[in-house]
Amino acid sequence: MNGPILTLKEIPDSRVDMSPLTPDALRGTDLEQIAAIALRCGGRKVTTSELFGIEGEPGPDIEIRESCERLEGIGSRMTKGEIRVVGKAGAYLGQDMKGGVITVKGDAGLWAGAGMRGGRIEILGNAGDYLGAVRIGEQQGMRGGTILVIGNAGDRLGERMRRGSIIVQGNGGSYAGANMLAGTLIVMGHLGSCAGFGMRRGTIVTPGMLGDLLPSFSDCGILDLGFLSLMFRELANHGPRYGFLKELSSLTRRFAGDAGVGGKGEILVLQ
Amino acid sequence: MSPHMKINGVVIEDTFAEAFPMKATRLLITAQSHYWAYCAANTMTGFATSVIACGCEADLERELKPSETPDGRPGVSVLLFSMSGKELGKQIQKRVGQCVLTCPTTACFSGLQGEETLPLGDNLRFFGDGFQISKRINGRRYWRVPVMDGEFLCEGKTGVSKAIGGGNFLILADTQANGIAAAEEAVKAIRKLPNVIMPFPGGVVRSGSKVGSKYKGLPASTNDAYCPTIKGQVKSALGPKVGAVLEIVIDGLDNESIRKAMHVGIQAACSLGAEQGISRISAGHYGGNLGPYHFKLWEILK
Repeated sequence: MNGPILTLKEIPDSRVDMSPLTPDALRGTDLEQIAAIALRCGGRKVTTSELFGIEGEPGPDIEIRESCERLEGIGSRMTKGEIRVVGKAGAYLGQDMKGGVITVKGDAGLWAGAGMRGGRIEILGNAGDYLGAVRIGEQQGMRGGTILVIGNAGDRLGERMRRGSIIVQGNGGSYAGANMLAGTLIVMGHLGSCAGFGMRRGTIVTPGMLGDLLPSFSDCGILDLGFLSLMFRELANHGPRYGFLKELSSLTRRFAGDAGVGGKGEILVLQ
Repeated sequence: MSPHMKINGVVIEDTFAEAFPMKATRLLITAQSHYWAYCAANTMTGFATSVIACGCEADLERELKPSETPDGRPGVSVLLFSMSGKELGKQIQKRVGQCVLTCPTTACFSGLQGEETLPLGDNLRFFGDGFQISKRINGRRYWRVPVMDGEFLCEGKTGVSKAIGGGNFLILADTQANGIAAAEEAVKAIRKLPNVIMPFPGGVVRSGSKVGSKYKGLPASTNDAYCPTIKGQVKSALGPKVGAVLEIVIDGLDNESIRKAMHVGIQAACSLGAEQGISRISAGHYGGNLGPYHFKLWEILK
């Protein structure tokens, strides 16, 4: 990593909009300029140095230490570089990001990866509700990129997602992939109830712990789907955290739906 | 200084092979087993010996291990060459559509990356009649077309590369049997090399052609100067001891690959030596005015 280390001095009394602190914005700046970047904290503006101790070297990458759930919009709209968050990340982590990598060594809040178009988010703890999902007032959720959650994800993950991949190593909440338009959602643990509700296209993959399957999904039987091997191998190339995907089988039980909306999506239960 | 070159007693003529610019693509065909991958690849590259009448020239390049294929299954790589990108696109659609899509368990991927691309699954997907599924994986689009044994997985586009067609050399032997033996050795050696194919049956041509014909409308006709049975009737290029001529035609993705293939092939053919009836190695050209690529035998064999 090449860039400053920002250590939160104390938990702020209001939510902080972290979107001005991205690798794109920090490129070519020195530590003094970084210290002077204005952040919105509740109804007021504060400088970065008022909230954070700043050390390390100037550079495009950022490490945020002692982070808490009130730091929102970390990595918003970033296109390159790396952000490492040690602690919790607030809502809207990596929203609208187009490239680069965000790693959270802790939990992430609501709507992580909302509006995301590219790059990677890796959450080593749990993710809140609406992971990669559509934001209120919008038509589509995540539109590209990859999200990996090592822990569990909340409800409505991947709601109305349009493209990209979400991989949850733990359990997924209810209404996973609801109204999904396309893209891939992989939940290695237990998938909550009403998965794929209203999905039109897209793929939900799980190794077997399926909750209540909606009656509007048709059982297509056990099939060997070659695209799964290809997809698992390509995703595994992202790094060792994705290595477990290489071990997955392409033999799967396919449920097509959601017929309630004339959907051509699928829930694949790996065998 | 000797005016001619010899390898193992075989005379190498001071001549050149004349070759032409082409467009090429590489396709990777995978299947549940090598048997089915070969079934698809052999069918797809059938009737693809010469652009004169087949639309393209195609052949298997090599066998692929599961670790070398995109989906981790056994496979085969195939090279297709045509005179233009447009014609190559048509041939890809017809051949993959009729020979790979139809073959049980197969999938088809692009084996070339380039700025220029041609549709592969992007057109074949319509066979899915609206039930096809698109997957964008690592920036590349793949189509999943429902078929009766499951799904046909096919990459959306394939890369196109500039290429060269028509690298060649002629083996002049005393008998057909000795000529065939030398040609088989040459083909065996060239098949080990990447980026080249020999599109004719078994990699060997017996009906070398010249441009034009006495018959109106025929673009090519038999290369009479190299036909042993009409020695007295034409200005023959064959000596009294030559009873058979066989040609190896090589298409390649680049100049260097063809040079290497010609080198390896001629050396292998000459390994049988003059004692086994191989008298001369020559090459086919049209006076040097038609094709911009000239592969000079003496330079290649230096």
